[in-house]
Amino acid sequence: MIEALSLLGGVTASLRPAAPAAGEAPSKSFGAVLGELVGSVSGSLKAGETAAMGAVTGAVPLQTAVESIMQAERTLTATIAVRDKALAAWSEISRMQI
Amino acid sequence: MSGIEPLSAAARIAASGMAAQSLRLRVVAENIANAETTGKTAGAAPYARKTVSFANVLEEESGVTRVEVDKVGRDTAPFPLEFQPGHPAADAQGYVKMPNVNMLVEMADMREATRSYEANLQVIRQSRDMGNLLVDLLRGGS
Repeated sequence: MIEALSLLGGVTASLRPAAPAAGEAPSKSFGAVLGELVGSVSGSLKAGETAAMGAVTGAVPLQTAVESIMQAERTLTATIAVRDKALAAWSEISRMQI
Repeated sequence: MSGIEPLSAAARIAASGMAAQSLRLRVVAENIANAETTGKTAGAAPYARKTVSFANVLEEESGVTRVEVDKVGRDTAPFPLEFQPGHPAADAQGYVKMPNVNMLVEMADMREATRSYEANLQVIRQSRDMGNLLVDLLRGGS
């Protein structure tokens, strides 16, 4: 619990990228992490789309296309779950009694 | 063994198995469709039954071992003779060489392809379910 709270403290610190890092510097900003996640999702979705187009023209086996699309779907749901978790943590902090 | 997430690897391998079984079904379809295909000239060879063999292929970058159709070969079994003197492909004695396609064998082959396809499909389904279970852990239950 304490560990989780200190972790959240790290997140809130990283939420202010303009602020100079006092004490320990956050390794990566929250925005950068989200950006990375979204980047991997868009890459996966793009691969799925390419496979779908290939399946329509017959260049890619249908099974491979389905597999790629499912992979994209899985990456998307996993990323959305992570994002929801992060946003829930963020709103939890914003609602915190001071 | 590393390189790619195991659940994705399982789905990809199963997809390659399904592709291979699809090709097998295609060959069975060719055999069944050409079960009565004879030669055109006297004594000419008829359609020879096609066979499929599979091979395992190692994907270097991801380290997964997929299956691929190795080659589509020809069955060298002798052609059964049928007495049809009026046929254009009949030899001097009036016998026509018929394709060496056995319908029962083709049906069994087709059934086997279907079963293998279903098994691979089940692997994909299971890998998806296992991945979803993990993500659900993150999503639900606050």
